[in-house]
Formats: sequence, C-alpha cells, structure tokens
Amino acid sequence: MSRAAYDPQRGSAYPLLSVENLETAFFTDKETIRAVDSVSFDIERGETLGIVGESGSGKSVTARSIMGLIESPGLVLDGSSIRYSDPDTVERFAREYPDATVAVDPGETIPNGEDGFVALAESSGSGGDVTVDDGYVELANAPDDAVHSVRGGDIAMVFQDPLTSLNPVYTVGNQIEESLRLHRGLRGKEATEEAANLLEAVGIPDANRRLKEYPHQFSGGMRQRAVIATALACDPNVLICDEPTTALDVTIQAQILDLLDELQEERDLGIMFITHDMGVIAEVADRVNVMYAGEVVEKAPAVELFGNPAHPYTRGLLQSIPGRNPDADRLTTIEGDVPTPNEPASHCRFAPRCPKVFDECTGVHPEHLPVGTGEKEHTAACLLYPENVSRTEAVAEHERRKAGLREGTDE
Amino acid sequence: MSRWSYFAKRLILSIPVILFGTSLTFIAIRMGPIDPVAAVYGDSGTAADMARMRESLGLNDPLWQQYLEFIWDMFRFDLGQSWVLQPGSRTTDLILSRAPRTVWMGFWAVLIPLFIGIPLGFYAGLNPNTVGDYTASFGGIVWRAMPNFWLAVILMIGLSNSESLLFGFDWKGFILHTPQVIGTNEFQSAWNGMQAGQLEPVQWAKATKQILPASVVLGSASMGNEMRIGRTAMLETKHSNYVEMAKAKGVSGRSLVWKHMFRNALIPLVPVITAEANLLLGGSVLIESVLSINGIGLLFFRALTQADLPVAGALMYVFILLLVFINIMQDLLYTIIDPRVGYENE
Repeated sequence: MSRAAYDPQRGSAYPLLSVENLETAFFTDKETIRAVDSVSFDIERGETLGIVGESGSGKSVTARSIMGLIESPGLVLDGSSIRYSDPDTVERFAREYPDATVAVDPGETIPNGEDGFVALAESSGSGGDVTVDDGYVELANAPDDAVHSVRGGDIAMVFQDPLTSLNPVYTVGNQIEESLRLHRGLRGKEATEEAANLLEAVGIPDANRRLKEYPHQFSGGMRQRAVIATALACDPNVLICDEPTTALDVTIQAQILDLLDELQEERDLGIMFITHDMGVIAEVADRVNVMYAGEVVEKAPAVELFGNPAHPYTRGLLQSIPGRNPDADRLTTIEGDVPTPNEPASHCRFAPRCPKVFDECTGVHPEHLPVGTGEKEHTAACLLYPENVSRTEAVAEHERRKAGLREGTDE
Repeated sequence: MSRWSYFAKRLILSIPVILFGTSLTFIAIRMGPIDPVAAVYGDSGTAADMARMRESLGLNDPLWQQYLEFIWDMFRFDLGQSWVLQPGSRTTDLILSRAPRTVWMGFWAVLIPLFIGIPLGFYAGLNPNTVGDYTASFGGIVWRAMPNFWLAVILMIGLSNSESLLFGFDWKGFILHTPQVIGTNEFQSAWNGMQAGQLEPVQWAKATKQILPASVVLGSASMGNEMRIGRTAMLETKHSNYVEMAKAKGVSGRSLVWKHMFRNALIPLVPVITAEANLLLGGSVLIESVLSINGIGLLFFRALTQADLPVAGALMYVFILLLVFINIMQDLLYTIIDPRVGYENE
C-alpha cells in the first residue's frame, strides 16, 4: 500500500516508516505459524498509529519484525518491506554501502529483482560524498550490521514489562549512558550530564542521584520512565511502544501516556502504539489498525473507528468495553479464541466467531476495501464491504482484488 | 551502604555458627563410644596404667569443664597433641606439614571445573540445540554420573598402563617424565625448593602433571554441575527481557554477551561454586585415601579410624572454619555481583 502521498511539510515522497506486505512466520517442527500475514501501514512524523488486537493477534511480532529482533525459528519472509526514510540515515547508508544504492523516481520503490536496499530519490554526488535529500532504506533486505545501527538509533522501542526490561545488575545511569555512547558517541561526564537531562525530561526528579541507583530501587512507573529515557537517548524518529502501560496501574498509566504525548510534541516522534486496551487507543492514537490472527482487519482514523466501526470484530471489541455499554445487563463478549494462523489465509479468519458470517466467508479471503461511507481512509477486510454495493458485487470485488493483488500494490 | 551492612551482618552471624559446630564436634568425640585411652594402649595396657593416663589427660574432669577447656583451646588455636598417630607431636605441626599437598590438589580441583565447566556451559547455553551443545551437555551428564572413588581407580589403572591400554600413548613420558603417575613427591620437592628460595618451573610443571588426575577426579562432579547450571543460567539470561531491550537499544554481539548476559548468568552459579568448594573438603578425604596422597584428608581419615581424638577434633574445627570462610566468600561474591542483595533490609 504505497500511498506515496507527497508531504509538503517534510518535502519527502515517502512516509517516515512504511511497512508493506510484512510477513513473519515461525517454523516449528509441527507447523508453520504465520504470526504476521501481509500487514501494511505507514507512520508519519508526529503521528501516533495505534495497533490493537487480542493476545496472539501478532501485534508484538509486528513490532519485533520492524526492530529486526525476530530470531530462529522465526523469519521475516521475502517480499516483506520495511522502508525507513529519514534523509540523514539514508545518506549515512548510501555512503557506507555505495554498492547497494538504487536510483528511483520520487515516490517509487525499488523494483522487484533489483539488488540493493538504499533507494535514492533525490541525491547528488556519488560514492562516499553522496548527499541525499530524499529516499529510503529497505530494512527488510538490509544486512544485519546495517539494521543494527538503525535499531535503537533511529527506531527505538519501549517494552511491555518495565519491571524486567532493565538489567538488574547495572545502574540506571549506566544503561542510559550505554545508549548515548552507542548512538551519539558521548562518554564520561558529558554522557552523565545528558543522561540526567533525559531522566528529567521523562519526569524523574533528583536525576543525578537517581542515575546512580539500580533498577530495583525504582518503582514500576519510574522504571517505565527510565526505559523511555533509554529509548530516547538515541534520539530516535520512530518510537515503537509495545504495551508500555499494561503492567502499570491506572494512574501511572495516565501519567506515562501524557509523558509520551509531550515527548511526541517536543521531538516530532512517529509513534507506533501497541495495546489491547481500546481505552488507551482512544486516548493516544491518531489512526488505528485493528489486528486479528496476524492480519490487519480494519484501518481507520481513531475518531472514525470509534464512531463508526465497520468490521464485525472491531464492533465486538467495542461492545466488550464496560464503559461504552452502561445499559447492558451483561457485558457482550466475542465467543471463542483467536485461531493460530498456521496456513495461508484462503478465507476470513474471523468467520468462525463472526455473528454476521455467511457462506462466502469460508471461501473467499477478504481484502482491504474502503467501507464506502464516511472517511475515505477507512478500510476493512470484510466481505460485507463496500457497503454501498450489493453483497454479490462486494464478494466479486474482493475476489478481483485478490487476483490482482500484486499489480494492485506495486502501482 | 546497605549492601555492606548486610555483609557485616553475615560476618557477625558466623560466630555463633562456629561455636555451634565446635560444640557438636566436642559432643561427637568426647561423648561418643570411642575410649581414647584404650586406643592408645591397645591390648597391652594394665588397668592401673589406663586409670593413670585417664587422670593425666583430664578425662576424669567434669564434662562441662572439659567442654569449656576444649572451646577455649580451639579459640586460641591451641590444637593440642596427637595421642595415637604420632604421640607427643603437636597437632598444628601434623596439619601444617600435610596441608600444602591438600591445598595443591584442591587448588587444581577448583580451577579445572571453573575454567572448563563454566565456559563449556556458557558456550552450550549461547548455542542451544547445536552439535556443540549436545556434545557438551552429554559429556557433562556422563562426567557427573561417574562416582569419584570409581573414577579415581579407573584413572589410576588407565594412566599407569597407558602404553597397553591407550594404543601406545605413554602418559608417564608425556611432555614430562613422571614415573609415579599420581602423587605429590614432585610437588614436595618443588615446595621444598621454593621454601629454600628457588623457583623451579620444570619441577612445578611436573608437580602439576602429577596432581592433575587427582584434581580431575576431585573436581569431576563439580565440573558437570557447573556446566549444566551454567548452561541453564545462560539460556535463561539470553531470553530475558533486559537482553531483548539491550538488543533493541542496538547493543551488539560481544558487549551483549559479556556485559549484559555474563554477569547475570554468574548469579545462580555462585552458590554452586561455593557449595562445591565445600564438597572438596569431604572429597579430599576420600580421594586422598584411595590414591594414598598424604594430605589433610588422609590424616583426618586415620585420626578417626585410629581414635586420635585431639587430631580429629582439631581437624573438624579447621574444616568448620574453612566452611564458614567459604560461605562468607560466597556472600562477598554475591554482594559484589548482585546489587539487589540486602535490599529488603533497607
């Protein structure tokens, strides 16, 4: 889904981070689990993309795929694409890997079969002194060394459990300074000062004393702040938050969300926010992707999603929030569990639990189509949509889309 | 600082432990079934001689008085005289003359598991389910399963007859010529040389070669244990959240292993290492008896079987002190490695 929208403010033909057709599978002796199955989305600077779904829907694997943290037996499959388009980073890569650069037209992607992972859309010079104004790095094809420098430096991650994310045997200061040393080359006193600034920036008072303390001397909320400070130490452009508030109690949760909001404003961060909590999503996200069994089933701006949910799964999720249904005697739940996606999708994976299931649901795989009413950016992967055509036509449209998927995405 | 006050507390707590252990020792040797006077005279003593000796040794004093004297003597390191093994010679001399040999064997018995077992375990943990891992794990289990008295005999036989058993490989002539396969005579001359102010590297190398089989036997169980615990500890650390976060921070290969994983993986190993240092004490009694190395272990064994009560009691006291010292070292290691130690007391 290369929208390739020209962003006049940033002057780039590419979104800051663009994930397209991401497929991550785990190969076990028993079966192949397609934990993430053709997921696509974009994140712009200053924007928060919410990813929501039940446990086991592939949210965390998506995040780890982007970070390059998938390890054997897991594998990000060929054909997946993770494009990162910060001009400085692209320039650094172009100088470091002059043989891997490919010249493309602005907005275009590296053609299939072409070697190389650094796309240069607007650049001058060549080899070691190339300057790049626009382009992207294809992280899915880049060698591990290259991914390493992006990981933590340009794209940072905040983990779910602050209680165990910090190394217990080193001081908090030591761990923040490690990031500063790795990505900004700061050492000694300079690093300590910067680390203290970071701790203050995330709202930890008395930073100089706190730097010398160990993680176990911090409370849960403090630790998550310290983790966020560590992530920010690298001065990233994209921050991936994998359920950063799930392990915290509600008041601390609100503080952390406010903090992320402030930091985003200050640093113009693009945030990918993963959670299973619809309430949190409503608070932080600009746009929302709903994931189910490894697939994105609905995409919409946050307001639109809550006001006008389209996919039966999203509706089910919203109906299971106590606060939204004050009059109901009993809370509605979605019957059944998330299936393990161990085969390529040839049908709708939600069909067995869907209240609106009909015959074609088990035979046709739904593609992302505009829901037809309301916002244009609101799409759902459900045979019920587009809403404004008859059901047979809608099913036919989904089948057409599936057949023409390749051409459709590589436009 | 709370970590160090925790350590100081452990140090003070060791005093009642020593007192308790020493008291138990007194009960075991003075109130046990052994009559030391009968042991000294054997069958030859007359009733009058034996009664006189009993009186002169103070065995007729009230028990509480004997107890207080025993504790006070031990406290002042006045370990008394041997009654049976070498009547009249000071126990301290007996122990000091044998100690270097046992220490020499124990030194290697600690080093071998430490520098072979733990690295192997860490290697296996870092590369789980590979051929190397399976080889190391399987070897560790087999190694651990061999009882050390049996291994001692097998090694002794194998190495003495190595030409015929090991396809012509001659252990006695291997690198250095050591006609006696296992023993401490080379060590004794190296030790004597050093006391005379000469450092003879070749002699020390010979001493090492001669003691290695014994040390391998003594350290064999520990080696297997440390390997397996090391593997588990490394595996656990490898999959911990903080290692994943370090990776996400961009920490790479070597630094990840040495900074973030190594120190954490050491924490569960500390008690294993020290517990095995304790095992060495018991093991040395066994190994020295089987391989007839004239060290403290053998002295203890003979003191017990021949009812030389002062020597046995003094050695028990020395062992208690060693055990407590090892445990204090363990607490010290913990305090250094793991900052969480003693935190609850704050």
